[in-house]
Amino acid sequence: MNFIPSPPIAAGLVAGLVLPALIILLAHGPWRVAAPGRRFVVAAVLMVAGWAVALIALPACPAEDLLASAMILATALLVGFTLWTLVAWGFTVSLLMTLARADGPLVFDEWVRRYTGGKDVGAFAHDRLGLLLKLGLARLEGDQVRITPGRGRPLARVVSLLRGVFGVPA
Amino acid sequence: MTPSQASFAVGALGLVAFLLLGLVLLRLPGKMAPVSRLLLLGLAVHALGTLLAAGLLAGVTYWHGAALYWLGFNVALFGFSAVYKSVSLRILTELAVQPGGTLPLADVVAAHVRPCFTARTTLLLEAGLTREEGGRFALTANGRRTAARCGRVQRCFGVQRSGLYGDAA
Repeated sequence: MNFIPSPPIAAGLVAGLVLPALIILLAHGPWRVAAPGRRFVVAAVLMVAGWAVALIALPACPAEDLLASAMILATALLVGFTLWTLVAWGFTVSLLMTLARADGPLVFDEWVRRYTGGKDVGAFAHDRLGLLLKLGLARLEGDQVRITPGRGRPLARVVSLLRGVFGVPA
Repeated sequence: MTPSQASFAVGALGLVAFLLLGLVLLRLPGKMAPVSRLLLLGLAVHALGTLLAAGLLAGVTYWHGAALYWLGFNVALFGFSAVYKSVSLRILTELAVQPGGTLPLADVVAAHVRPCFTARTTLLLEAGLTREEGGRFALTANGRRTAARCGRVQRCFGVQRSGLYGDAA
């Protein structure tokens, strides 16, 4: 078996490994991008741009090598995004860090309030629903939440189907 | 078939094997977390596929098949994690089965939002990172060490305060 990567595949591997370094670079100093979401996007764009420049600089490459290189890049983006969401927004880790910042033991409701920056569980529900509302998957009608027929229902069907396939309890 | 095309075929076969075995593994009883099961299975299938390919196909390349296999693996894991853990998607599917597709906001809070907090606090308790005494929660020594490590990683990546209410997205 040949384990030596061709130049385009090596470019994909290097680009993937550079992603966390780019995020760190954009987290400090003069190039700092303050918002975590935007920081990841900027790092990803720089990574893809660097990869594209490297491929253009290479002599003509077989299509199979380009395809494999693009797959490696897509994998790096997916893994990087998953790990970044855990570091920047991870729910359980954030609850742990909230308790670590507290002066002493907290009752449950106070723990929730500290996590949400002073809001209660109801406000947190509003904020979680914000994603569904923003994407047009549901809408608020007074104190009722309603799924939208055009976008919400089809996605709900897909999610239910995937739950069945993966064996996740409803 | 060129060595790189053979490698793609090996990666595709490995991915099909992973998906089929993964669906069985997720349904087996056991204490190991589903994501950990899938990770271990993914590594095992890839190692076995690579060994078989190395033994049976002379000159086959490694990286083409590996690129296809790990991309498929990560897409599957991403999809599984979304339907397994996402609170927003749970609320959406709950709405879909209601008559008229509506629920009072108070019911959403009671059925999904509060339980998602308690599930995470229970997880921290079971992991020995927190303890509860008289209804008050505090970090254990292990929890303090873990929080310190997480804090170092977050500072390295420039995250001041993580979570939905952390640094402005």
